[in-house]
Amino acid sequence: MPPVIEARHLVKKFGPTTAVDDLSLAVHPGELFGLLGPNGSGKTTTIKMLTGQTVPTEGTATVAGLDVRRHPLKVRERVGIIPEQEMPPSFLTAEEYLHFVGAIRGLSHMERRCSLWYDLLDFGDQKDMLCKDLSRGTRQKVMFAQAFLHEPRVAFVDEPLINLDPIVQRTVKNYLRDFVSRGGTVFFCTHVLEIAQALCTRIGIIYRGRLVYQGDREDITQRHAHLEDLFLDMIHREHHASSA
Amino acid sequence: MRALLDAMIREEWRLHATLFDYRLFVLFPVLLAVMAAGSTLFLPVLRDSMPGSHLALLGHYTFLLFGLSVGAFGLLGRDMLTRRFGQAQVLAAAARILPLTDRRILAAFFVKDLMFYVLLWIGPALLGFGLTAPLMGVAGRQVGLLVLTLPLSFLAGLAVAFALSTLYAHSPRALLVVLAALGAAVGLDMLSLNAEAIQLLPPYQLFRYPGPTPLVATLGITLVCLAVSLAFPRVDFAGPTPRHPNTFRRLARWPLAGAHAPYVAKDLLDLKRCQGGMGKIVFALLLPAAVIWLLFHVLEEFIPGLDFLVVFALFMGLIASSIYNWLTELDSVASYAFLPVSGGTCSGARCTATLCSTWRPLR
Repeated sequence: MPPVIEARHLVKKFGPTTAVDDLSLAVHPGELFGLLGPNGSGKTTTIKMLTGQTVPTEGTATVAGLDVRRHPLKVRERVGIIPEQEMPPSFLTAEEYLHFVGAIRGLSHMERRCSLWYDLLDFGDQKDMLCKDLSRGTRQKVMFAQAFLHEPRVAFVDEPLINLDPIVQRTVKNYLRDFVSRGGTVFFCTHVLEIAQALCTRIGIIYRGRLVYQGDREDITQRHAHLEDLFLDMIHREHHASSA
Repeated sequence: MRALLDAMIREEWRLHATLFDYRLFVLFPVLLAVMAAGSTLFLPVLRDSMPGSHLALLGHYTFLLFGLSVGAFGLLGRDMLTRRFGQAQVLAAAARILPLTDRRILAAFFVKDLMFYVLLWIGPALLGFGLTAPLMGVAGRQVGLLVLTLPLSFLAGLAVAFALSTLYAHSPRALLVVLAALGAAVGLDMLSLNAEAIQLLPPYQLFRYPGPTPLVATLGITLVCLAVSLAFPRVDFAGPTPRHPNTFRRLARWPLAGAHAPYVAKDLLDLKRCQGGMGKIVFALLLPAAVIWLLFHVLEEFIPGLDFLVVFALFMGLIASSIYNWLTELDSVASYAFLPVSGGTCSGARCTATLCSTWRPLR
């Protein structure tokens, strides 16, 4: 089966700084791929390139069969995205924001779609509150709902569990597991290693813009008992290599 | 206090530099000085249509309003920052997690506003005016007085804004009553033949009749207002969280906005619900109207047969651009980046939203 996300030699430079350097990877349908890395290592920039939010300086990428350089909007139509920092607009209610996203995506049956998410993530009683008055966790729930409102086959999620309480975290994890078991694909960025180990079927480690490791669960457990040990080992090795 | 003040000034500088582009903002004081000098060259023209005393009165009220707007924006403008910069936090709010009293934070905020705007805005403008005014026949004594009384007018406006915001924090209704009473008093005075009350502005009185009484009045108003705001600070004034029905659904079907209806609906709701509400649009309508009126009141004497259509076009242009400013400067493009929306759609939608927002308050 061809990969649903494929990056070939992606490079992103911001002036003299290289944020992502020669990154190549492939993610297949049914995979929950976790991209791990320290703060500022290039995870978010990678997601932005793969979803057509920013143009790569070099290299190519295809997502859901579409070239992200040529069809950035179509890519964003097909995928769901949870950005790392963005929150829903302050002065719309949670319900209004979901309807806004639905209107942009041209969705019908919005009441039904929304109520599924109110029930799943348990924020229906706060749907008529302005997003600025919601707790961070509830705002994150709204962002999660907007990403999956159109029932995409591919989702890019950047720290989706942040600010969520353990109950909702469990719900979200189960949802993502179920999503990939039904053939969906998730590209998951995080630096919470326990979550990545519990959730991801395959892992990539990025350090200073370079993909320094790729492997599945089996490979990780063969090398180290814990993902944390592997992660720290890789980062230290790369750090020493780059400073030598 | 010193560290807090330093950080607040640095923050204010970076905020403006980010909003207006760093290089442009560095040149802004120079631009202000040049603009003030250039405007002063028109003094003889302005004097032909308006007595010098009226011009001075207008100048003092302009500085008072500037002080009021700086104070109001500083204290109530967080909504704008959040929209423009995402989850922006200003130091005045963030400092509350440190062992600092609200009173100290508010005092630092006041001093920061005063220093920042006097040094970078008022100072250069007065420098430009002060260098050019003597060449235009303004007596050196009057120039000197204006250089003193105009900043005092700004200072008074700033202090009044701080006092009013404190009142608002305690009771929004009380603020409305005070503003309504002030508005009624000014309105009645304007309707009277000689409109004397508005001339009682202490800094203006100090300019007209230099002496201890208007000086004490000016400083008195400033100090009392400042003391009131520092004596009764209140930062937490959250009431019950408001709830809203789904207005978006109805607005998004607005036929006038066509394919851009969802974006227009979002912008209208943003405008309506953020601080200042639709009042900002009315303000954006009234201010250009006043500028146009003033401009053409003067220009019609020098441009015979001035075309009404030109006046109207300029008037509409100014209104639209000021409303467009509200809609664009306040918004963050990042909130659309992860949705399937092109930059062209965003721009087009913003133009439609501007047209609709211009039309809506006129309805």
